[in-house]
Formats: sequence, C-alpha cells, structure tokens
Amino acid sequence: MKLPFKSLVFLLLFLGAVFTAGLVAFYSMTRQRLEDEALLRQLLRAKDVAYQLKPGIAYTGFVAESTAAVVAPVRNEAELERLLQALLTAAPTEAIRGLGVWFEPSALPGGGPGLAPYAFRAGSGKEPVAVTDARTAQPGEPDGQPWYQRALEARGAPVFPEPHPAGDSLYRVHARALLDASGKPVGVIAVDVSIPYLHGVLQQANASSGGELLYVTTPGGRLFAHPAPEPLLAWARAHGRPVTSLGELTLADVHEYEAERMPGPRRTVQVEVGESGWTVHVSTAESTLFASLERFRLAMLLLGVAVWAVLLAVPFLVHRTVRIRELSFALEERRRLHEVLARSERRLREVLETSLDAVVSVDCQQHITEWNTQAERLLGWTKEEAVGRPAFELLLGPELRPLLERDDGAVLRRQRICTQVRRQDGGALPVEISTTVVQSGGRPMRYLFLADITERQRSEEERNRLLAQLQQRGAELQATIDNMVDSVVVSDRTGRITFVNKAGRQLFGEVGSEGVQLTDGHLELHGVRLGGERVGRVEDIPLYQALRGNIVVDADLSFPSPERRRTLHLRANAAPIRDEHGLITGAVSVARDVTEMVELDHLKDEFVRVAAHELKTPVAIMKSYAQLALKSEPTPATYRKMLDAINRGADRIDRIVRELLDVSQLHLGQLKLTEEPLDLRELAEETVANMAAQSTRHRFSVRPGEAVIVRGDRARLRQVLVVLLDNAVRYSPSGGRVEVRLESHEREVEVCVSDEGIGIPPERQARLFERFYRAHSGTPHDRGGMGVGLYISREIIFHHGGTMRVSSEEGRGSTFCFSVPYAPRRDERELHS
Amino acid sequence: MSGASILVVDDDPDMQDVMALTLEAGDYRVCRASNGQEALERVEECTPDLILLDMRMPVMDGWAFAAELRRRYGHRIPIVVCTAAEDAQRRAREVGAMGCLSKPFELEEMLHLVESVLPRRCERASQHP
Repeated sequence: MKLPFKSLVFLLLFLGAVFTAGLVAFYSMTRQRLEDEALLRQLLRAKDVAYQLKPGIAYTGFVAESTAAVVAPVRNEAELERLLQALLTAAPTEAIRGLGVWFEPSALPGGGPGLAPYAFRAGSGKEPVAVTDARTAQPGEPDGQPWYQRALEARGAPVFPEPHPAGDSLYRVHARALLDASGKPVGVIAVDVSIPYLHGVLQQANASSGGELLYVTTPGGRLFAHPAPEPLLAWARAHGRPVTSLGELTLADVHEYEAERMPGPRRTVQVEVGESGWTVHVSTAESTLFASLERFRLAMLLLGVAVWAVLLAVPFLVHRTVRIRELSFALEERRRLHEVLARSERRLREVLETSLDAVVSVDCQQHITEWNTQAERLLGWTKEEAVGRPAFELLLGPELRPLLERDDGAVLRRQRICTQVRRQDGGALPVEISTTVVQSGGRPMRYLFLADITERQRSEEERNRLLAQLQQRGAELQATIDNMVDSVVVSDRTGRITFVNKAGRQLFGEVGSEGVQLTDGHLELHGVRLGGERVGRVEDIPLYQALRGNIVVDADLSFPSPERRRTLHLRANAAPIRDEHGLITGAVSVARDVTEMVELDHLKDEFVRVAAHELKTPVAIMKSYAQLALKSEPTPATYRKMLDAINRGADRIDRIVRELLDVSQLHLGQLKLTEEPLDLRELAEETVANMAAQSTRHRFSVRPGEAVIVRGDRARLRQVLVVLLDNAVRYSPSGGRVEVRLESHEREVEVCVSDEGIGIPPERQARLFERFYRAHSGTPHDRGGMGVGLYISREIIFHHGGTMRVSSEEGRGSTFCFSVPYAPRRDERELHS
Repeated sequence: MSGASILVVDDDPDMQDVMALTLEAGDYRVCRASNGQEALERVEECTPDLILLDMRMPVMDGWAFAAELRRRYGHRIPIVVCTAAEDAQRRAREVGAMGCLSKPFELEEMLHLVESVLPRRCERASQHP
C-alpha cells in the first residue's frame, strides 16, 4: 500500500510540473500577442481621432489654396468681400471659422490704405457669413506677426502659424502667400478654424476612451487640447508658471504632469493629422491598456491553482479512501474476532461441562467461581454449594497453597501434580491437578483441572506387579535356556544372530556368536550338510526357512568339527518369531546334538551288516551238508525228515539274515538297485506259481491281462511280491483266496495283493510300514517274524519311484498295493528286440 | 560233460569240502585251494576248466586272483563267483565271471550253473584244439 501511494504522489507532482511549464509557455506566448493587439487598438483609436480631426485641420489647406487662386487678381473691395463670402459658405466643413486676406500696400493701386477683408461665421457658426475689415476685427495683424512674414517668404507654400486664441474660439491655422501673375507675393491669405468644433471632437473621443488621455499638439509643439485642462493648468501654476491657456504648455509639460500625477507606467502613441503638422497623442496607462491581459493572466493563474489543487487533492483523497477502507476492514475484523471470541467462549463452556476432568476455577482470593458437572460428580458438592466458598477450606490441602498463591502463572504452568483432595463425604480422592491462569475481563482467573486417577493408580500397581512377574519369568527363562542341553539360536529379521545360549556357543563356536550374519561362505567353509546333502545357500538352513515363515521340524544338520575330530550331527527345529500383528521379526532355531546317537546307529547298522554277513557262510555250510546228506544213498526216512528240517531252518536263518542286511543297508543308505526292463505281470505270475507250489493250502490267482513293462530291479520286485504273498498266506485261514491284480493307470501300474484273512485294526495300519513294527505282536494272531518285510518292501518301491498303501478291514481281509512307474518306450523296444 | 576239471577256491574248509564232494559226486575232477595264492599254483597243476571262486579270502582275495589269472591266461578259464556278500552279481561282473552263486545256495543250483557254464567252454575248446 505504501509504495504505490508514494509513486502516485510523485507521478502527480510530475504531471503538475509538466502542466505548469506548459501553462507558463502558453501564457508568455499569448501575452505578447495580446500586448501587440492592445497597442494596435490604441494606435487605431489615435488614427480614428486623427481622422475625425482631419477635415477641421487639413481642409484648411484646400480652402486657402483655392481662395488664393481666386482672389489674387481681385482688387475691388466689394468683389473681394463677395468672393470670400461665397468661398466660406461653400467650405466643406463647419470647422473653418473664417477667411482673411491681406494685400501688401505695394500691390494696391495707388498704394492705398490697404485692403483686408475678413469673412467669418459668427456665433455658433450656423449664422450667415459676415465680412469685416480684418484690421478692425483683428487688431495687430498682420503686422509684426511671424506667420505673415513666413507666408510672404514661402511664396505660395503653406505656412502653419502657431494658433492663438482670438476671442475664445478662433485659431489661425493655415496661411499662404497670394501670388500675382509673375509669381510675386502680393498678399497673404489666412484660414481660421473653430476651436469648439475641434474640442468637441476630442471631447467626444475622450469620453469614450475610459482611462485613456487623447490630446492634440500643434505643429509648433504646443498643446492644443487636453481632456482635463483644469488640473493640468493648476499643476502648471503650482509649478510657478503663470499660464492661462493650454497653448502655453508643451508636450514635455504634459509628459511631466503625467509622470507626476498619474502613477504607473504608460504607453503613448502619436499620429499626424494629414500634413498639417498637428499631432494626435494617445496616452494610456498600461493597467488600462493591458486590462484584458491582466484578466488573462489571472485566468491562467486560477487555472494553474485549480489544477494544482486537484493534483494535490488526489493523493489526499486516495489516502483518505484507503484509510477509510482500512478502518472499515479493521472494524469488520474486530467484529469477526468478537464473534470468534464469543463462539470460543461458548465452546469452552461446553468443553468444561463435558470434560472428563473436574474443572474448578478460583479468583484471586481463592474463592471458587466455576464448578462443572464432573466436579459435582467426582467431589460430591453441587455447583450451588461450591461456588463462592474458599477452595482450601473446601477441598484442597494446605500443601497446595504455593500452587495457587502465585498469581504470575509461572509456577506449575505445565506441571502436573498428583495429590489427594477432599470429597464431600469426607473421603479422599486421588487426582492429578493441572492448572492455568486465564485473564478474564482483566482479572486473573485460575483454572484447576482435576483428573480422577483412582483407576490409573490401580492399573499402575497392576502393571508393576505384572512387570515383576515378567522379570521373574524372564529370569527363569534365561536360566532355563542357558542350562539347556539343546542349543538355542535367535536371529533378527535379516538373519543376524541376536542370541545364542551356552550350549549353542559350545556347539557352534565363533560362527554362532551374537551379531554374526551367516553367509554362504560360512556354510562352504564348515562343510554343512542338511539331510546328507551339502548346503550351498544360507536360505536353505532351518533358521532362514523359519524367517520365510516355515516351521521346520527335525531337520538333520551335520558338519565336521575339527575340535572334536568327528562329524557333528544336529537335529534342528526352527520357527518364526512374530510380533502382535503377525509380522515376522526374527526366528529361533533349537538344535540338539545327536552325534552320539547317529554314531551309535551307524555302529549298530554296521554291526548288523557284518554279523549277518558272517552268519551267511555257516548257514551255507549247514544247508549244503544237509542237502548233501539227503542226496547220499541210502538215507533212512527219519533222517531224511530231520535233514529237511535242518534245511528249512537254514533257509529261515538265511531269510532273516537277508532281511537284517536289507534293513541295515537301507538305513545306511547303501541299497543299490539294478535297472532292467521287465514284465511285471510275468514276474507276478512266476512268483505266485512258486508260492502256490510251496503253500498248497491257499488258492492263488493272478487276474489275467496284457504284459506290463516297467523298468526296475527284478530280484527286489520279486522280493516285494514274496513279502506280500507271504503275509497274505501267513494271516489267512487255510483255503483262503489270495488274488494278485495289476491295474494300469496313466503313468504307473498298480499291483495289489488281496487276501481274505484276519485284517488289521485301523489304529495299527498307520504304523505297518515302520521298521520292526509287528501289527499282531502280543495277539493270538502273532505269527512271528521280525517286522521288517513291509518296511523293506516300501523302501524298495520308494526307490523305484512308486508308493505303497494298505486297505484293510478287521476280519474281512487286507489289500496291499504298490505302484511302479511305467518304463519309457525306449526300454520297451529294447526288451522286444 | 563228466571229467571236466573244476578248481574250488574257498578259505572255509567246510565249504570247500561240501562243494568238492557235491562236484565229485557229479563226476567232476576237483582241485582245491584256500586262497588266491594257492589257487594260482593249482591252476598250473590241474588246468581247470572252471574256477568256483570265493571273494573274501586271506593272503590273496578273489579280486587279486582274478586279475592275476586274467594277466596270465586271459579269459580262457571261466570263473563263477560264489560269495556271501549281498551284491554277488555285481562282484561277478567286476571280475568278469560267467555266473555267481550267493551263499547259502542250493547244491542243485550250483550244479546247474556249473553245467550251463562248462559246455560253452568245451565248444570253444573243440573249435580251437
């Protein structure tokens, strides 16, 4: 607002300056023109007067000339008088008063007394022309008069005698010589004019000229007429000059008079009246002459003042307008603020009323002034009871005095105090008090906010109790974890190890320290294996699997330990740690050192393997000798029976040995299968035929169909079939039916062996394929055996890429099925070729 | 095919006996050896048409014997492996044997196998006397 306003002022001042300069230039230009015009008008007026005077003065020349020509030769007195009378009557203007003729005596016949007639208009000039003798009418003339001699000497050229009053109205203004035929001057003629007439003309001109002075001088420089002759004459007399008429004064006198008596500069102009030598003068005061100029100057001045006034008024008005607007804005703002204030006050009241805190306000004497609904509810007193009473008497303890008696509000402005206040029923209420001082209507008003903290105190106690419990639990847990046999490793979300217990530190050494971030390099360096396979990436170890959200159970980890000079085997579980939102924040892995167990297991399998192997040779010997003995002739029938029994016993031992070997091989992962294309149906038929030959008490059948070519180990698959058929026979009553069924599916063939035997209770079916599990152990149906046949069978099928399942109903029979994937076409061709 | 000479190599004397007796009962000429070293000597003496070879033996085992035999005589004399090891067939292939017997075996099975292996050798012998 400020800058534009200043700019406006400067702009206006600049405009004013420009305008003033223009105005001054215009004025000076115009003034010159107006002056010139005024002077021209003055000159015109002078010319006008000269023109009016001209007949009276200039015509005298014509009259004198013509009269001279007419009367020169005339010597007769009567004729001369008649001629003069006629000439004067015929004179063109009333200004000519009279004509006089004087002849030189030498020109007259006889040198007579002379001839000097004078024709004139008597009285006012309207009367008829009279003629007298000039010498009587004008005594003293012409003798001794300078004009007479000058006229004679001028020989016909006009002479302008200095006029002089004759009586009170006559001026001789023109004279010339009368010339005879030879050109010799014989006399003089003179013309007189009427002064009143001339004066009349001047008077008339002066009357209309305002402050202008018009006056006339004679050819001799004497004053002829003046508009104010009396003051002039009086002035002259006052200067010691005894004058009686204007003719005694000169132009210089008039100028002197004007300079003395008429203040202010004057402009004078003069105009000749024809060639008469008379001059008309116009003298005008500049004030009069340039009166219009003065008006113009005044108008210009007024215009300038007006413009400046406007220019100066503009910023003032602008400023005033702006000020008014600002004021009205301020008024509007104030009104709005008032409204806001009123609204916020209303809101404050509502807030106070609905506040969960008890709100109490006190004045400077600590008397209660406000008491909200919550205060009524919490403290017991109604508003009517509380307002006006001293706060300390009513509810506050004396220890709170410092809180309230400082008026500056600096104390406890933000602080909160937990204390107890009195209730109406005499009880104490634990509260948290906060306070603030508000200037209300110029007086400080202290507000106290009392929050009921009963609940909070209770929950705080509860929290502390729980915290203590938690710490106790934490300590217990810490002790437990630290004294666990199992190692515990905890990592954060990124896999960085954050906690390792004592067992873990012993087990993993430096790699398992807190703060370590496992890398692929660690795994490579320590040769870590998972389930027998080398682990190349940390993502595959149980801890990292758990970080991805998987729960890992019984993962087998192993790595060689140089310190303990053996490969350590661990069985590890891992699980993610989730926060309250279910997001994974870390993982925990618990691992048990099962090295000794694994080693023992290996030792056992190795022992079994060696023992079984060692058993084989003696069995072979026993069996061979029994057979040899049977062959030798003659053998008594009783021996034959015994030898058969020995042979069968050797077979059973052999089978047990083979099964034990199979079990230990499977467990050591040493089972090796050969692979060849074979017809499963043919194999089944062959095996069933063998079985039927040995066990004649059961009815065997193979459901007929096409050849089924698979790729596998003939001996091992036969072993599976034998186990299944043997079981079927073993747990079926005599005469029971045993059926073998081959069902071709899209990708595999399923072989099922069904019997009509005792069946298997459902709760035992699940464990059928476990090592050394015997479903009928301890029942009347226990038929012996080691409980490894189904285990070995399932493992063999598994190694072929197939599966094995059982369905059985107690008392109705069982069906065992295994599947073997088809052999590829290539192998089929090979077999046929 | 009676009269063919068979070398039985087995460290167990009882096993050696029962195999020899059985073969002799089947009209074969039988030489015996208790280990590979001994067997190599017997080969010189008896010029066997077939060798029944146990694999695990002291002094010189079946693998070493088979290698030495091949070095000296080429594939002229067929071998039948008879072992207590669980993967008898594989071992037989390892030493280039014509057959295998997994202990304990039926004596009949042994005789069948011996008979089935021998004629081929005789055919070859008759072609190249």
